[in-house]
Amino acid sequence: MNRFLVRLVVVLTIILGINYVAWRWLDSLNWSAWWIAVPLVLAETYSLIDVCLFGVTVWRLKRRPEPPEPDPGATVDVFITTYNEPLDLVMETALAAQRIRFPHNTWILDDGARDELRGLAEEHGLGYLTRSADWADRPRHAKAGNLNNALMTTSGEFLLILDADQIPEPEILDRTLGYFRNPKVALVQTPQYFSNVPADDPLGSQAPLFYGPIQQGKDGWNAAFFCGSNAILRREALMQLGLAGYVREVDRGVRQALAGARRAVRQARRSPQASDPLVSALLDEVAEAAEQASRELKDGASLSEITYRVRRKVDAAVQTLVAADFSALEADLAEIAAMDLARGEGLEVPDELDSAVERMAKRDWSPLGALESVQAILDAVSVERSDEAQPIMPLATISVTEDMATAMRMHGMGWESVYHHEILAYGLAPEDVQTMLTQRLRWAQGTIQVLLRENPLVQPGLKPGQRLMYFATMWSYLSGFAAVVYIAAPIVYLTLGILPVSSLSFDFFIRFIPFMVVNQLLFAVIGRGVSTWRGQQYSLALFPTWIKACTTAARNVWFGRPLGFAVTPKARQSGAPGWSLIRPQLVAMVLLAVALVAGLGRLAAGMNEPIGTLVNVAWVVFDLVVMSVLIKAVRYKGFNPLERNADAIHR
Amino acid sequence: MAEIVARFSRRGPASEETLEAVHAALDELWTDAEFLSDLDRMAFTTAVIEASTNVIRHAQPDDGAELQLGVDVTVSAERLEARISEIGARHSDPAAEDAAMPEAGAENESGWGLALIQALVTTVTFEREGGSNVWVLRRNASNHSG
Amino acid sequence: MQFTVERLPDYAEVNGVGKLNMVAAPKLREVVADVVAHGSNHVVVNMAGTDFMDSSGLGALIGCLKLARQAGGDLRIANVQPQVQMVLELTSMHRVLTPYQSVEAAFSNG
Repeated sequence: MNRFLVRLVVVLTIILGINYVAWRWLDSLNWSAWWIAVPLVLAETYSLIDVCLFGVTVWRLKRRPEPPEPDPGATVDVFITTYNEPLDLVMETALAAQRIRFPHNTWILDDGARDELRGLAEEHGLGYLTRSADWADRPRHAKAGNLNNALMTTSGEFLLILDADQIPEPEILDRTLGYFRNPKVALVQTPQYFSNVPADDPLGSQAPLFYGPIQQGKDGWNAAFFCGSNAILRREALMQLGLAGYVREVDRGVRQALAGARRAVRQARRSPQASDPLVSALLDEVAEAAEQASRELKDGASLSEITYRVRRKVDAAVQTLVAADFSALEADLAEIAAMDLARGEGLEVPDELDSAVERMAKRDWSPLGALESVQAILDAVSVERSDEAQPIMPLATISVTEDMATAMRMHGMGWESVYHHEILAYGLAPEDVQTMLTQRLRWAQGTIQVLLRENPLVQPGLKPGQRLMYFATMWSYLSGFAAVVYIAAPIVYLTLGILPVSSLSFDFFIRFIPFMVVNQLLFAVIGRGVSTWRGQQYSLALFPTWIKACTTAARNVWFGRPLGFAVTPKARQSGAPGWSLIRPQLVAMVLLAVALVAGLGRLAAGMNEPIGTLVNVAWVVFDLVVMSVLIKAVRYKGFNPLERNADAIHR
Repeated sequence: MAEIVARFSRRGPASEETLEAVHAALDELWTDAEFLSDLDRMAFTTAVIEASTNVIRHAQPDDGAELQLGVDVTVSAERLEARISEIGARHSDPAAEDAAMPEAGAENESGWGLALIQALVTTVTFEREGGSNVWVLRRNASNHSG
Repeated sequence: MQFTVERLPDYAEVNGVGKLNMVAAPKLREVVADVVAHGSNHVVVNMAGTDFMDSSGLGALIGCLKLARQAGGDLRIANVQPQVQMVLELTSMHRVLTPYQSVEAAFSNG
């Protein structure tokens, strides 16, 4: 692929995109229908930013030459993570891992602690690990916890991580370990490829655009992502991460506490006593102190100093209030004491802290009560809790998808990553819509959680390009909101005759069409040889999943609510196809179809103009074709190897 | 095999005195290996002391045996290597026992210790040799790779 | 390791010379506990002479910080040497125990 051509198309796309969207904002908004016009132009702006970020990603697309030979003395542990997968599946992967040519130790990490699997492992001379007793009654942190547990009982210099259904090729280590000759490399990721997927890929399981140009582009910015499986990691880097994580948890606690403090003060302002000038001045002072502390925290200032200063400010305010003999509401104080934020004890579990701070901040306190509650919140998280028992957690546990957060922190510490573009393991993809939807929801939730908790744009240590690469992926998961607008806008025109654009004149087409053409050209040039259409379809068609991911993740991060996973049945659902799983999309499709008929009717009756109808009918047809993939998906009966297109693998 | 440019060995009861003696000997050793960067020396010293501390704190003597700490360090142009032996210790794997989770309480930092060691050196292995448990720590010198 | 204590109007300075390892860690705890018990809850540990610290030493410093905080004061460290700086950075503890350029600077901003 010609790098010059790619860059040329990227530049053209961005210029024409800005040309179009700027015109949309400045000169074409139909303000009389602002309720659809503004959302549409926002959605278009979202898409433009998305395309620009994609352009930045592929700008430095990196195709690596043959990898260097591994250091023959390197020591490697191969980890196979499992919880409840069928034993024959786990053993097939484990035995394939045992056959990896480069010398290594193979370990089954069984979070299900199944005796039968232990027996099988021993029979075949495989390592077998379960959680140590220390994990009893503590947060288990799912797969990240499973891996962290294993890290503490093994000692290989490098770790190959495999999901239970990812069968490795014997040469996987020979092809990847050589990259670690560069002592700054901490991660080598290889593609995830699925062998149980028919050529037309009805569930959109393969991700040729991601495990291809996107990862290669990110690699060019030293930001190749860790994707949880089929990756090799350097232990030293993980351990450094684990040590730093201790402080990071404190950091997060302080962040939460300051947010809670600000909310408590805001509440207190509404009480009758707050009209007193002295009280109001004190509240201002405390609010300002908390505000400033939050700013300093963002700049990575000393945690102990920040909490110390805010605490002193609040202490002084409380003293003044008490001295002024304001009605110190005994009841408030008793209630704070009852709220089990025991002073000096500290809270072990971040989730507990979240909800405690929430409770504290929400109550209607008197000003004195509010300040006392701020004191209690600060005490609960202050830095002294660092010497309480806490495991070293090398793999990040802040989000349900530990991989992205882990890699981002490694990059923040100055480590490098590599994307090796060669299929070296063959996995199993979900074979029914429900499992697929749950999996996508989980990825999306995890990504949004990381965005909200550790926004890459402000994390210390990352280079500008790396910030953009992480942000680009997170940004793309916001597409659900834009999709709703893209579905609603043509329906509104065809049924009501309301156009969000002031006119569909020559001005519109001369700006819109060139942008669309280069945009599609960009995908064609980048995705040359691989089909990106399925991926484009799913990114629009799964809009309810993306929206749900955003709202649940936001509630989880900001208000401490559980994510509320649906339990995924592993075996394929029997019985009727799961139409109910895609109800929002079915409703949308029916509405689109109705709008199509209504639009043609209005055209015949002379109520809508021909050009507007033509554009919007085309738009509706596009939406319907995109979403039709879901019909196929729901009717999909699972993989039948006989129908397999033999060309699909080994390309 | 790279040429050894400096080395030392020390053996003694698993006590605080031996720990201090090991530390002093390490500081002495670095005067013979001035080509190493400050970071290599500091990181390696810290790892060796962490591992030795772990032996003194946590190794369990075999029945009737006296527990001893042995430290052997070799330095070549490319690599630093230390073998830290728990002599007369019951067979154990400290990684399995201590590191996953330190017990609550101010005195216990062993969970930090092992993680710190692993973060400071290139490889850590744990072997059983005769009547001894042996930690092997290796760190590649920073101006050489591989 | 040798500790000396100097009480100043605004804070107490604890001076540690030697290696802050498993041997010295309990001593540091004792010294700081004594200083706090005698009414100086603002403590600066001057580490100009501390050429080595391991995880035991780090644990002791955090324990002392907790003591000072519980007494309504604070503990800060000053003049850290390269090895101590390395351990602090590797563990990110420099964000909790922030090193100051000098003993005077430690409490200069309140």
